[in-house]
Order: sequence, then C-alpha cells, then structure tokens
Amino acid sequence: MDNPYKPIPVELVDTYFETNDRQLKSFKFRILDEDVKKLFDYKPGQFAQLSVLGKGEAPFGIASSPTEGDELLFTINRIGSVTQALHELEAGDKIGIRGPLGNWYPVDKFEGSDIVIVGGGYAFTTLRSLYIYLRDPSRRSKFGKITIVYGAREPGLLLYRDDLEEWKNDENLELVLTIDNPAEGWTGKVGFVPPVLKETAPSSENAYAVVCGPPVMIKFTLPVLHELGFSKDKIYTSLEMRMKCGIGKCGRCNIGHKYICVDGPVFSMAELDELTADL
Amino acid sequence: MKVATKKELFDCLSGMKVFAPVGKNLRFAEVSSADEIASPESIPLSPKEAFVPQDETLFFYDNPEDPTSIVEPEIDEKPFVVWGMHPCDAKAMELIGKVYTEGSYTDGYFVRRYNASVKVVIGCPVPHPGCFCGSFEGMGPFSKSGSDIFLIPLDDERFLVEGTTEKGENLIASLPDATDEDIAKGEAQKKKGEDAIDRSVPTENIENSMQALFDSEEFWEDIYHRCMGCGMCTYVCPSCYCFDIQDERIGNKYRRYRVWDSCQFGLFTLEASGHNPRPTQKERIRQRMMHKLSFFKLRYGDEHLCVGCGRCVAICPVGIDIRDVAKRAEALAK
Repeated sequence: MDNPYKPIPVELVDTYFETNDRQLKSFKFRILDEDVKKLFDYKPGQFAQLSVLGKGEAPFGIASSPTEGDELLFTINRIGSVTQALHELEAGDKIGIRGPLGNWYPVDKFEGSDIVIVGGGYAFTTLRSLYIYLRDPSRRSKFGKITIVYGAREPGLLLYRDDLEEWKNDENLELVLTIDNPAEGWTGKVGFVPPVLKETAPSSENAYAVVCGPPVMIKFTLPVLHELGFSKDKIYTSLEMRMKCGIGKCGRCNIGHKYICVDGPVFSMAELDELTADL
Repeated sequence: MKVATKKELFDCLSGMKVFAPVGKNLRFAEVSSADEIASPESIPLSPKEAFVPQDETLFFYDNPEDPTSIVEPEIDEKPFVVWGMHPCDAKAMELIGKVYTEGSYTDGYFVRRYNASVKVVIGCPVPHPGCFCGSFEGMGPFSKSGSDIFLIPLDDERFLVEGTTEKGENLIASLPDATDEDIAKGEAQKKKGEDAIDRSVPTENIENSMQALFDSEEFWEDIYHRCMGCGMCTYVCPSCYCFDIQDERIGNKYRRYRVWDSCQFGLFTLEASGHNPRPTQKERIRQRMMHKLSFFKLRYGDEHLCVGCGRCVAICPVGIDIRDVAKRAEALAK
C-alpha cells in the first residue's frame, strides 16, 4: 500500500537569496528516483510538503512551472524551525518531499479569456508558476491579454527579478511593478497594489483575476476588482493555513467544511463566500 | 442467535489479543483472561486508542541527512479483539474510517488495523445519564453498525451473542443456540434501553442551524467565556481524530510520529508568522462544536461527527454540554 506520509528523497541542486534582506531564499530540488520523478506531475497553484528530517515538515507552494523541466523551485521565508533548517541547506544536501498536493489554478477554464494576475510581497511563488505555464509557446495563444500587477515594499523585495526582466519583452502582457515608496533608480510605479490596479484598469470583459498576497492587500484589492466588473466567480485566490498531513486527515486546515490542503489551496471568491471561515 | 457467558465467549476468541476495559480507570488494555474484563455501564475513555494509537510511528530513519534511510514500521495485521465497545464507539470508528479512506489518500495505518479488528459491541440496557445516541438518526443503544459480534447482556453472567459480520459469525459458531426464553429476555433488555435513551437533542437539521449561528456573538458568548481550553473533551471523544506530526530522536535512531492533537489548543492553528486564525477560545470551541454538528455532515454526507456517547458532557470541568448547544442552536434558528 502506498504510504502518503512517506516523503520521497530530493537533492538540493541550487540555492540562493531571493530578496535583498536575505530573508527569502530560493531552492531548486531534483527528485532522485527517475520513476518517481515521472509521477510528480503538477500544475500551477499546487504545493508540496518539504521534510527536513529531524526538524519536521512544512507546506510550500511550488514556484516552478512543469514546463520548465525537472527541477522544482521553492521560495522560502526564514521564519520558523523548519524554514531555518531549510535555509541552512547547501547544494548536494538531501531532504524529503511529499506532493504534489492540493488543487491548482483553473487554467483550462482560463482558455479563451484575458487573465489579470495580482500579487503582493512574498505571495508571488505560485503566480510565477502560473504565468510561466501560461506563456509557454505551446499554450500562450490559447489565452487573451495577460496583465500582471505585482508590488513589494521596495525593489529588493520583489521576487524573481530576472524573470520579471525577461517578461518585459513578452507580447500581449502588461507587466506593472510597484513599490510602496520612491527609491533611487526605480522606474516602475510607486504605490500600494490596490490603487495601482485601479489605475491600470484591466478590462473585466471575458476575463479572470487571480489574487495572492498579504491579507490586507487582498482586503483592499477585492473592492477594486469588483469596481472593475469582476464577479466573485471570476476571482481566484490561494489560501494558506497551518498544515500537518496535507492530505485531508489531520483535521487542522479547515475553513468551514473544506480543507485547504485537499479542497484548496485555490478557491474562487464565490466558493469562499459560501463557507463559514476563520481566516 | 447464540448465548454465552463471558468466559465461554472469551474462549471462542482464543489465540487473538483481546483489548477490553480493565482496572479502576476502565481504560481499554490487553487482557489475558475473561475475569479481568470489567463490564461497566459507561466507560470514561473510548476504545479509540485500539484503532488510532495516541502515539503512532509513521516511519523511522537512521540518518536525518539521508531521506533514503526511511523505514516504515511493521503493523501487526494479525486479528485482534476489542471487547466491550458500546454502539456509539463502534459508530465512531466507522466515522473515523470515513476520514481515513476518503478521497485520493488512504491512511494504511488505520485501515490495516481496523480491518484486522474484531469488534465485540455490547448493547446498553441502562444508558448513562449523559448518553443521547438515540438522538441521531439510525443510532441507538442497540445499534449494531460497526460491530462484528453484538452482545445483549441477559443477566450478570450471560449474553445473547450475535455474529453481525461473517468474521463474527465464524468465531461464535461453536456456541450453543439461544432458547426462545433467552431471546425474549434479550428483547426486553433492548426495549429497556431504547425506552430510556435520550432522543431529545435536535440533530436532523442542526448542521444548517449551526451554520446560521457561526457569526452570532450572542450564541457563542456563554459557551466560550467558561471554556478553559483544557481539551479533555477531544481526548475522551471517540470520534475526535485530529493529530499532530512531529520528529524526534531516540538514542541513535530517529522517527516521525503522529500524536493526538486538540483543536482546543492555541498552538493547533498558530502559524510561524505569529498569525493565528483561531486566536481565542471563542474560535476554538466554535470549531469543535461546528465540526461535530455541522462541518462533518456537510463534508461527508449523512452523519454527524458526534455519536451521543456523553463523555465530553461528563468530563467537562466547567459543564459545557453539547446537548445544550444543539438545543439552543435549534431554538434560535426557529
């Protein structure tokens, strides 16, 4: 019988600081067993449990896209004991992984529509996965215009700056980057995400929105999206909560009668409206 | 229908480990003779531990730096007996089974143990004052759901014995058949229990009434101010299944294990960032009551996660009573 609690071994291929404050590091892992590698079939929005044996396990959104090849990318904030242990890893070290877990952004439903991606701060990991998946040459023509509004406190806290630089040349993409306060050399917008989104004013006609960010950003972004004409069933977000098993057994991450780990992490605002939730 | 004394039934089960309520605390533990088995009318601790150990190793490893060194524990799949469960307990194990087998992931630790078990369930001619199993549809003090062998106490010595699964039937095949007189006596015992059980707790539409009260300050006010967050209700509950997962070192070996956890503890949902979606006892007691009387049914279909065993009512140091919660919710919803 397959044991869903048993992690599979992965090797750390590369790790580097992602933000200038050295709080967030990115990690690229490679699944060691070739047969198991084939089974790790994921979509943007899914997450995995990373296991540092002896320390514990924690869930992280997968920041790579399956279109990028075998390496799995995670970007991790050093904040608790497991993430501290992860930050101490060096290339060549081996840890465990369980996944892919949870649902994904409804990319099939997005076909034929415009897509507005709104991100704030550290919550750009699975949004990176999403955009890289959508922009893949095999798929890009299936979607309309894509708008990305992404903000951070300061330029050095934006994730994936090399990717953002590369995307600037993408066709049919409006990439809007913003920081909270003016900074030397910054050529993007200045201001919080909600007003910048309002100013960008992407059309809600035949369009979906995906929003990830700190709760306060979400709170002020939703009214802007509503004003732009996005109905609740056209707005998706990804939730987080403390998790242990990641497979709907341990009873921890429920919002109402749904579990974030198996019914989420991706929900539409219409779905969330139906739930009685502690968030 | 068969008839047997405790000893005669025990002999039918020879060769298997038998867990039964023993000693002053009436905890379910392994027994080696029928004499050790207590026959209390109510058991303060549930037999959950025989199916879901309080502490269970998920796997061992020798070297934390080498995830290929993971070794899964051997689970004893030899048949074993849990003797003296009440109908509420047998139902609770079925409910936990729903969680452990739902969806894409099957919990082999539970499933292997549950499938290996022989559940000897005793009906309740004299329900405990806090019991209210009869308030739930399809349940009652003589409900056979989840049993392999079902017992009706006839007197201090003898039981009416029924095999309720093929496994159970085969085990008791050698026992003498019950006389018409025994069967009539069994029926009378059953009637006694059925007449006595509390059926007054509203459960039929309670999931919706509770949903409607989720944000009601007035409704939760009275309950949560008293609650001390001790978590006893979750430990004595036969159907509470939430667990934590931890790693630990034992000498030169390491293991990852799971351990019963409680939604009544602040740490249950405390995130590394310091954010806690359930920061006070209000959200925590609400979570438990909602899970028992609303969320489970909304998620898994026809049944609640409460079996009416009354253990949480009996043990709560501040007298929080799930029966009152249901009654108040139903009254307010009307």
